[in-house]
Amino acid sequence: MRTTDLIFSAVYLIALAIAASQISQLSDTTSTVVSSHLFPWVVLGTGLVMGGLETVRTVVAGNPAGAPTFRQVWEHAFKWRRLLLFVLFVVYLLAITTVGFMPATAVFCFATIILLSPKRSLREVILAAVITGATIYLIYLLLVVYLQAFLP
Amino acid sequence: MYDLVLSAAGSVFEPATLLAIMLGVAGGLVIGSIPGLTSTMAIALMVPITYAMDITFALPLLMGVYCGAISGGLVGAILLNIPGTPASAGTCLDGYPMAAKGQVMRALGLGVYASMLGGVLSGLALVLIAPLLAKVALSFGPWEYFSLVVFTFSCISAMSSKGRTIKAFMAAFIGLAIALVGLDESSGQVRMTFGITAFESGFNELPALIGLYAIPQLLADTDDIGRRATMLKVDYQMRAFMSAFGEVISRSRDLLRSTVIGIVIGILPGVGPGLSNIVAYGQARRASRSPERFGKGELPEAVIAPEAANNASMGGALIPMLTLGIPGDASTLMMLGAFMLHGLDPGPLLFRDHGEIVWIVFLAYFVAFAFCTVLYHFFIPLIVKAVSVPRQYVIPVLLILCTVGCYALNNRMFDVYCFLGFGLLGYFLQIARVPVLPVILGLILGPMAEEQLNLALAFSNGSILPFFTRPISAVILFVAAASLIAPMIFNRKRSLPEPAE
Repeated sequence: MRTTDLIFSAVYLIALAIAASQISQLSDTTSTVVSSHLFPWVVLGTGLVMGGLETVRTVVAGNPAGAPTFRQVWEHAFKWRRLLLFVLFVVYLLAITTVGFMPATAVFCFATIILLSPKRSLREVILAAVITGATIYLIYLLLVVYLQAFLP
Repeated sequence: MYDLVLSAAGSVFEPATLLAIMLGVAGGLVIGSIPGLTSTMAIALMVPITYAMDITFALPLLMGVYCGAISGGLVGAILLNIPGTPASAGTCLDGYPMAAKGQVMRALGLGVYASMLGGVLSGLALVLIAPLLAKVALSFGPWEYFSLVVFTFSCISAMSSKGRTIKAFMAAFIGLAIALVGLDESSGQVRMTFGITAFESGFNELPALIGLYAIPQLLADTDDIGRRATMLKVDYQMRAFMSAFGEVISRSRDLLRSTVIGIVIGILPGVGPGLSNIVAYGQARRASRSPERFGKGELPEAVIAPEAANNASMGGALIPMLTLGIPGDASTLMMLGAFMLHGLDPGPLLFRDHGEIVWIVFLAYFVAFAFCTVLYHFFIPLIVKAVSVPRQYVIPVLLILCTVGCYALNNRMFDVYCFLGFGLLGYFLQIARVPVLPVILGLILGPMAEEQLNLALAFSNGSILPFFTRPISAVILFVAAASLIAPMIFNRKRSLPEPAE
């Protein structure tokens, strides 16, 4: 866990430092009472101090007894079903603009149910088809009929 | 005031609004009863859908969802020993053992009636306290508001687990930094956009909130696929269910204590039903004449206490949200998002300028609890069935609904990509065991903090002294400092060696 904590602190510090580098691009007029730099500096400056404190704390405190190892943490984070769902979802979002909202949604819903199921059977396929149909109908009602949204 | 109440009653008691509340409660009960799906998720799903609705219809619907989802958590806790929502974690401790002894309906009855009474009593507190607090808040200047935001952030130390306080503050700064992106209203300049035009209007709060909560939760929920939780067999004896009402009334002292705990914890920013139910359980045990019988499913007060407290937190959490615009918990954060979506800024001015809306919220709250109790009486078998719905059917549907909701906000894919981006951020925060709630607090309260700080400094010619010389501001800052220091003292005391007996 300690390595993960250090990685988090490092990413956090880098992100805030990059954000802080943007503050200099802001300008103030002479009549300004409160500088436009003030609040961003308060936020990013204090945030950077917090990141520094946490890094020192993690290094000094060491690995607490019973804490999961680096490998355990990331193995858990990248369990195959989680990864599969994430990949399917990203592909779905990318497909929306090219394939169209409804077809992409139908394929995503059906494929996700089938691929996530612990066992595949004809019953599962029929259920997936029914749920997909119902979801598509619900979304059509919601988006097109009720919200009158323009589908991508 | 009476004309406002009557006008609000006219809106709430319209058949269509009543139906919306009932459907909201039913949907909330189903989502809340499914372990892993929280009330925050239920509201997150519904908020974008209410976009096209009239606010007098949308808010009652959302109150129904909120109430149903918090109450629904008890079913999973009692039947599966898995709380449907964190708000029912304490209910598992005695609810499940009681149900395992063949008293499922008694346990459910105790939970349902305690929820109803706790919720209604906290609703009364909401109606009594909120207008008074709003009146006081009308005299607040930017100094007091900024101090309140500081106090809200100081509560982060209380909501974080031991050794993770700094991380929780870092999370808040992530939210504050994200809130900086876009147009700076005071100077009219765009900032932190890195040249990306889409960032110039900043991030819409709702896709961010939904992404941070829904995606990590749904990814984690895939772990439950194929895992068969052993659900207790339910013998639907309504007599046993209804006789629990008498037991709840006879434990009025436990009920009242837990309700007060729930309200007080609910009012504190950032902590809500997730903590109050555990604290109330602990206090009920401490006050009991036979604490050794807790955890065995023998005592009704062990089920009453956590359920009364978690529902009481709802009313408590709505108090700072409505009067000051500061959310009491994650679910009220979503409710705050709903208000903002409809162009309303919760705060004292809401009471002055939109009194009818406030009363609609109050009345819808009570109606939602009434529907919740009624629905439990008639649809227990259906709610029980919802607990065991396989996750592979639920997860893709919820992801699609979240996507639709984010898209429908502005009819643009950018919000959907933000939803994904914030979801990824939430997931990596989850891996690093960093709480997500402070990020959202930072995101929502960041603009308010900046605006109030700028105003305060402008009014006082750049001096920070009024923050400490204005009495209310000074008191709020003192309490904020105390809430920062107190956990450190308590932790130190805890880590001291126990004195030898």
